[in-house]
Amino acid sequence: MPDVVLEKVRKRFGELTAVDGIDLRVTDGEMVTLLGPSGCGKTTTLRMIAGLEVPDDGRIGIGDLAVYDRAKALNVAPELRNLGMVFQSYAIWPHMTVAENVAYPLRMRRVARSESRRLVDGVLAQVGLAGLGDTPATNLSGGQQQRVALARALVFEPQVLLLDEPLSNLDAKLREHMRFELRIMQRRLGVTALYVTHDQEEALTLSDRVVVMSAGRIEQMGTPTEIYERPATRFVAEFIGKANFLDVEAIATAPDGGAEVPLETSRGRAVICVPAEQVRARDGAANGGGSLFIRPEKIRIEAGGTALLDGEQRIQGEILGRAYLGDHNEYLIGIRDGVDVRVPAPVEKDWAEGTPVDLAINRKDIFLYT
Amino acid sequence: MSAAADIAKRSLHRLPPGGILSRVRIPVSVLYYLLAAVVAILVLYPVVILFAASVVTGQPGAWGEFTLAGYKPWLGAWDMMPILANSVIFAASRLAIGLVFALLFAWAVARTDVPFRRTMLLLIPVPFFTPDLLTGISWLMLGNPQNGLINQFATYLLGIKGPVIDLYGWGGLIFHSSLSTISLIFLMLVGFFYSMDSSYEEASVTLGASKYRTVFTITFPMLSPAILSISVLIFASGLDSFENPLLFGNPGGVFVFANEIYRMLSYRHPPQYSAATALSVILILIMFSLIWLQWRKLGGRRFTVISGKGYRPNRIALPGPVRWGIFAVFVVYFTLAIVIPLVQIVASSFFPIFGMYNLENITLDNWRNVMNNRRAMTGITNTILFSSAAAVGAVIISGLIGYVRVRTRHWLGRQLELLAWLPWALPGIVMGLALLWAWALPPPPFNLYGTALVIIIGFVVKGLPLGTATMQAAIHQVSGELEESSRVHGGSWLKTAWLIMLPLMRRGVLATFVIVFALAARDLTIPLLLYRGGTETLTVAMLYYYEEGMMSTLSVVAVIQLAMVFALLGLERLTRGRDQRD
Repeated sequence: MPDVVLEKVRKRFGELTAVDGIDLRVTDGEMVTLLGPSGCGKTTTLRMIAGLEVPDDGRIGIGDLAVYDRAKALNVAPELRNLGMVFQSYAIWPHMTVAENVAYPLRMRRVARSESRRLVDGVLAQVGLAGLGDTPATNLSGGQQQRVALARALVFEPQVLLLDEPLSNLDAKLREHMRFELRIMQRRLGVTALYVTHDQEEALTLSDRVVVMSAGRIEQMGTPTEIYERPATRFVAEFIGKANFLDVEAIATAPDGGAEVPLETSRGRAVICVPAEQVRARDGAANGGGSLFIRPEKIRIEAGGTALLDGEQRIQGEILGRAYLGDHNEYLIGIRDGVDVRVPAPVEKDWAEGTPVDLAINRKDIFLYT
Repeated sequence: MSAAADIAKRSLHRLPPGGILSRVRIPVSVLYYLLAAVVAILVLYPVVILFAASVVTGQPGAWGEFTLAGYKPWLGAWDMMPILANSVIFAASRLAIGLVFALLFAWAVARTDVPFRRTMLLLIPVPFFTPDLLTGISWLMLGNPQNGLINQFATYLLGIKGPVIDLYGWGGLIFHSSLSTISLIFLMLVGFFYSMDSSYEEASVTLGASKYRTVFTITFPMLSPAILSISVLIFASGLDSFENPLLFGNPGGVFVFANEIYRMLSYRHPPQYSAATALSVILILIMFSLIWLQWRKLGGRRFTVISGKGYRPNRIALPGPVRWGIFAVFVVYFTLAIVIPLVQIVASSFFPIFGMYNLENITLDNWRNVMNNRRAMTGITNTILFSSAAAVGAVIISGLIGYVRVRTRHWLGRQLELLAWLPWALPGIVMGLALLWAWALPPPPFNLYGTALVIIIGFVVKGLPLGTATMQAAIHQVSGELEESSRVHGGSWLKTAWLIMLPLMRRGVLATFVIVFALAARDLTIPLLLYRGGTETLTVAMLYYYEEGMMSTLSVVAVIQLAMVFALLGLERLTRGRDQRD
């Protein structure tokens, strides 16, 4: 199974730059998710790999073959790229039976009829649709159509599997189930897969690596843990998971290269130390203000004045409100007028409104974006 | 899994390793330019030639010298004013009558509890689909002043001397052309009435206005952009109309643009080509300004009353006499537009002598004679052949235009669509004359003067506007992903078109075929100017029999034409019904 390589790929639609010169390498057998809000260029990127959009510039390679190369004026037609693709609408042909749909790629490759039937039966069994081959495709439920689309994309053992928001039309329960099934199937077949979604949960659970995109550019590329625990930009921090941001102004450089950030609270002033590797400075400049970023679940609520553990920082606050969410409570904690953070806490601990509390945060969980 | 690996390898073989396939690649856009060239030759080229031909002394095939003589009646002298005035009076009165009745019917069918609404909805469009040539001839058989059946009955039975009814001239012209106009306006309007949100009307009634007052203060004003827009189109189609002025205007001395152009070409010796061509150019300019007005001033405006949510059919309850009064108007209308002319023409096809409808004389001789009549059979065969060929051609060309417009972002898409709509602004007689000039010009083998091909080309051009509209709608209905999925999974664009697009668009393709076929099979103007011995169509034969007074033969041929048009429309409806059940 080959790699998929994108080099400086660019695509414009009129005035709008949809994909702004991205570089990306998906290695053999890997499952990579393109994640981002609508209009970030993720679907356009996938469609350029499929050959359904022609880039304006750059190079796309599948294996050792270039399928698009601006410099050589090369553009291979979609049908010659040997890819499998699952579309958002499934794109099941309504005038064919399930088996005819699935056999289509084999028919295009002139595979003998008996051989084709064997392969179709095999792949239908794999996706759990054994025996449904002669059903008209329109008689299937959404989940079943989804499986037909997957079977069709896999039946000819393509080099690469492309998936364009394949689960977005399913209801929530089925979506969660299919997520696991997709992952297991991809692992078993060892097919290189590129997956486009705007759903961060899907991206985190499914992928070996996640590529977060925004406005046609790649914001961060990494494993789900890296993306979640160490967001490279404020955009990634905000887009993935829940986030607390505290805006700060004066930022001093500490002797170890980290940042020392004074933070006004209504009960005094704290100095927050951010280790050097957790300072994400735009254009290298750390002056002129920025935002502190802390994941809600990385904050522990303690009674005022409690001794902290090693490596923890203290921010003083006051309980403003509480929301009961069943398995936990969520507190709104005021730092000073107009500045607050949200913190989850176990239901056993109950903090009354107006209680002054200390927030304990490990230094490794505080990030500074400028 | 070795088999699968083998397939994968076979797939890999098809990948060009930087080889021939990838280097010698024709950009798809070259095909778009090719298509644009074909459409331009079909549509634009004849118009350009027509403009050029309006300032020469010659005739098709021989240009002659430069002259402005054709425009002389328009320069200083006012010789053409009566033609212009007649045309405006004709188009305006048929529009006015058409609007009154179409608005009444559309409002009653869509918004009120008038009886037999569904029947009315089904039957009111029928006159539009029935060829004007046929009903016009049938009415003239009844109401011409010399030997019209009605006048004969009045003389023999009631002893009245002189004609009681005279359809020659203005009366017959406006009467008969209004019948199909009502039908057409109704077709264009009724959808707007259906989709209008009834809560606007309810609000008015709640505030104390009567039902009838609400119609004039709320319903019609809210639809006025649509009504105005449609009015401009109908006015333009009045200038286009040829059959009615020819049949009713000529004998009564009423000349409008269309029959005047034809008179200059056919009834004068030698034919006055430069005058007719100049008159055609003037007519085109008037049509273009009307269409331009409709697009610029009205076409862009949104009809806000058509909300996306499903309308609530809250019908207005009318008092009994009003309900049945409206229904009676419909019955009279349908009787005049369809029942009388069709019964008359079918009846006369079974009697040896026109008008002597005595049951003892009933015979199939007319039908036998037609089967042995070379002219009639040639006409029937030609109509079927030419119309089918044109329908296939129009499906392919308008399908390609629709595809470029709907599926690609290529700038040519918009231009192609505009080109496809250009014939909409060309009156039939003008199109015929333009094609005559244009295809007599090139050297052989491209000189199509007098061939069947030039008539087929004319039918294709005439079918392009509606063909493109239906094909575009059909392509819209097939999601782009269905097509892309085929491409990605190994289907070339040709295989995708054949195995995916065509089967999924079959209803739209059939509808387009039927529409273009029906338009062609009933068209008189294009073959009338372009036929030579051997390429007459059914309509040309009908006009010949009419002018020769061969009413029995004419009736048979007319019934055959009618059967053909309705059979196809029925077929289209039938497949539509079946698809919806699926």
